[in-house]
Amino acid sequence: MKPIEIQNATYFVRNSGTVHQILANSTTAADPGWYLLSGSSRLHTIAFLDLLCGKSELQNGFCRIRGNISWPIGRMGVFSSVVTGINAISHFSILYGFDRNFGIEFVKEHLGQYELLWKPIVNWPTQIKLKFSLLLALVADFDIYLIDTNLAFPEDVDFSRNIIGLLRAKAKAKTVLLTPKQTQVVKAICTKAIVVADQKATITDNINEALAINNSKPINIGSINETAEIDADDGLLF
Amino acid sequence: MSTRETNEQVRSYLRSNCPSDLDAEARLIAFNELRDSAEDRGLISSPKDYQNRLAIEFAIAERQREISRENLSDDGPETVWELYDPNSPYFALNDGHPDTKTAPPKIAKNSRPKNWLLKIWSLWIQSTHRDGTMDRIGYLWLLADPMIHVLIICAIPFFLHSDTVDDMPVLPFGVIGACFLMTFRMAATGAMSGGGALLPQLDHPTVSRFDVIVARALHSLAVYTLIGIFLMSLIVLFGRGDLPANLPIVLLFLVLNWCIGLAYGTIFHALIGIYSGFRRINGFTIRFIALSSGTFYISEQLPDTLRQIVLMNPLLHSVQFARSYWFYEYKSSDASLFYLFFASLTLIATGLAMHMRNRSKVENVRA
Repeated sequence: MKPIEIQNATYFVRNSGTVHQILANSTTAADPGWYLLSGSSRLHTIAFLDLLCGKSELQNGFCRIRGNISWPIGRMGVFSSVVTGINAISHFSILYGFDRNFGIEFVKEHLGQYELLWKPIVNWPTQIKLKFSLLLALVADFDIYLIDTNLAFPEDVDFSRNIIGLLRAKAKAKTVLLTPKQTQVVKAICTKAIVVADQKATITDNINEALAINNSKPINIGSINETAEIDADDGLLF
Repeated sequence: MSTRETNEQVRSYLRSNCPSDLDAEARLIAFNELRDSAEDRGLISSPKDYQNRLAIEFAIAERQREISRENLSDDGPETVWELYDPNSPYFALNDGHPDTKTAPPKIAKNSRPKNWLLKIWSLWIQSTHRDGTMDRIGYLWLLADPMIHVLIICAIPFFLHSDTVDDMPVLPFGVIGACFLMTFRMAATGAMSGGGALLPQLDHPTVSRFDVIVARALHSLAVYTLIGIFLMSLIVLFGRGDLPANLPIVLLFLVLNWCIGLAYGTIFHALIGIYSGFRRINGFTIRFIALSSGTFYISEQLPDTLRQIVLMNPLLHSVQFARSYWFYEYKSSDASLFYLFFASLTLIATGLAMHMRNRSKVENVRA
């Protein structure tokens, strides 16, 4: 029983009006372990994370996830930015089934500037948002962690040391997928790599090779225009 | 003054005014005061002063690093990279790599109805916060905007009828019609947007597209129920109408009406995904539904030919049933419970089927 299993997967995504094929009849399975997730472009990495967290579905084949999987930690969209940190913890406690008060205490203890928890997230510095995101992921109990953010914060060594310690304790013998935001970190921490390139997802032990493939064929990623979707209402009464 | 001198001056200022025992927020305030003071003195007021600005920002960053180093405990590493350097005594993986043992993965638990309802509630709260903070009095607009819509729609029956419509007082008659119409319409709009503001919540593996559609559409039910109850209470208070004959049944029809709107919106969301021109067709369809919904009239007043057409609209049946259970004076002879439930179930089943079919469509990837 492998935590991530992909069979005969055909997977397309759309970006800036263009359709890209990410996987073509690809089959792979990942054992528990700490993986570097490397895509031939950032689009491939994002699309693969979308597939794993269930945001997108395959057009053909199947992707089976066994166990609880995290959201792609580091994506800020999951926080409705206008809510306060406390509201966000309540929301996450409902979605992931952890105790709200424990979550608040845990974040207060490790975040440092805990007084920010009562202020809207939109006003927080980016680094604090990333730290908050990591801490929330550590409160919940996951079998698969998708990490799309920095693990090392050069301006806050203590926090970095705490977070790696906590993550190691929490994700011991579990599956962690880490995108190569910080090469030094992934080289030290990852023992295997999932490479999404040439319409295939493959697993390799060669981290350096995987890092060389990462973003080797960059695609210009446009942000999607959601206004057309949001403003389905034309504002008229009838 | 040269850039280097400015930098030196700012650094010495920060050393005396920003000690290392200041907490992070006080430090930020001190830095902002420094920037304000520099601006007041005209050091960084024009775009040409970018060298000064750079010197100040560099001094602030330098002070941050100094404080970070001063605050480090004695036994800690100096830089974060030592945590990931196998030759460093602070190497984070010194006592073995965390993936050395393998554990069988657990199977995810099924969600229970109570958890699902809690999740929808929480998503709705997120969506409401987002809508409520669009401007300074956003929360007020959340209720004021739909209230104005309802009142404008209520004004139309005044022009068409005298004091009563088939013995029903025209004011509560209009409020029921308007609230039902707007609940349907806004539920349809919420579902048609595929989740709208809640779309980023799809990053959560525990949140499905169906969840965000329902949570977004829930807003209309909550708002128009609240507004309906508020306006009807005022009407009863000022003696312009009576208390309802059977309020729970009326609310039940409102919920059914909301479900119809949700199903309609889900169908059109899927259709728009196939061909975007369906958005235009929806514009006409939703207007036809509004005009034939019985908001301003009752079907019993219409000529036979027209009546046969408007009775095809399930919304009309639910509005007429609601009025029948609100007013003692009126019992609809045209509304059919069998037709209403048959049409509702058909729409809901079609909506769900199209939603399932739509799940494997090619998705947009955002940066």
